[in-house]
Amino acid sequence: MTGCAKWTDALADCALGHAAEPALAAHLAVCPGCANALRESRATAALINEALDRRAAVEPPFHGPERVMARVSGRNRADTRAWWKWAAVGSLAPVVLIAIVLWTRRPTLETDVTALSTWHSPTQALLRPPVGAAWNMTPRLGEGFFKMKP
Amino acid sequence: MPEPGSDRADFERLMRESYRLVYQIAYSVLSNAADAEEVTQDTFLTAYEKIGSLRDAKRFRPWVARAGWRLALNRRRGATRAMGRDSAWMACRPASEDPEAQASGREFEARLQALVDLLPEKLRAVVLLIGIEEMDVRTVSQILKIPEGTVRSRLHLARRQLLREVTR
Repeated sequence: MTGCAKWTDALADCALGHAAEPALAAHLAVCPGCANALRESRATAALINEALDRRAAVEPPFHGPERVMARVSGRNRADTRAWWKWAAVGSLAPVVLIAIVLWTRRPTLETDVTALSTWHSPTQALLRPPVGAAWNMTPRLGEGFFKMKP
Repeated sequence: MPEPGSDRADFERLMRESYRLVYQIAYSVLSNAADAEEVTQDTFLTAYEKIGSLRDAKRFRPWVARAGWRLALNRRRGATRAMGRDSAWMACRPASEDPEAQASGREFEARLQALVDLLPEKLRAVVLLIGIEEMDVRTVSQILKIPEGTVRSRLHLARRQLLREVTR
């Protein structure tokens, strides 16, 4: 562009479609350099617009929408699977909880052994002789045998 | 989430109507066909999950366009591989051109691409979106959530800057 430096912006605006101001129009009538620059700028602006339009007109892949729908279906299936998974977890949870409670409250082996060691048969008292206590005592010197307290 | 059946069919219809637009928006941000496709897919999957919050089906198109724009911007900011721009769009030149003209055209477009990348984010967004066939100033203003006058002024600034750089 070989126009006058003073008119650079005004020429660009004019090339991009703005109406030329009276001052610029008067200048263009007497300045072949600026008139030429305006013609060139208009041609370049048209090329830029064409290139930008072409750039924007890139077509998407043909099967793009089908791929979206396939992914939508896949997601739906995954959601359904997830629903069943959570339902199964939900129904098993009470069973597991009850099992844990029963396990923690089970009678321990130690308790059973203690109970057995302290347990006495009801007939054991009947089998004990009336003087059984005397058999387990040693009489002391000078002490009457039958006056002893068990 | 839509129930399988009619809602899903409605979604598919809306998606097919907007797929091209969302892809082109994503491509305008990412300049990479594979990334644009991935972002488009993600946009519609997100839209499928959230479509229940959309009361009016007429709002689907701008809604999904904005969602695609935001996802693409996030991808551009976050991904390093997105910097691998492709030149798929340069292959769209008219077949009637002679090889020399095609070569110089590609050179021009590559230079323009580099200049667009150098634009400030705000200007680049407007100039790329407005190039999309179905976009007008109003739609761009809805996507970017800025007034229409701001769209116009940014578009003019961006074009002027590009013109200045190209003719330098």
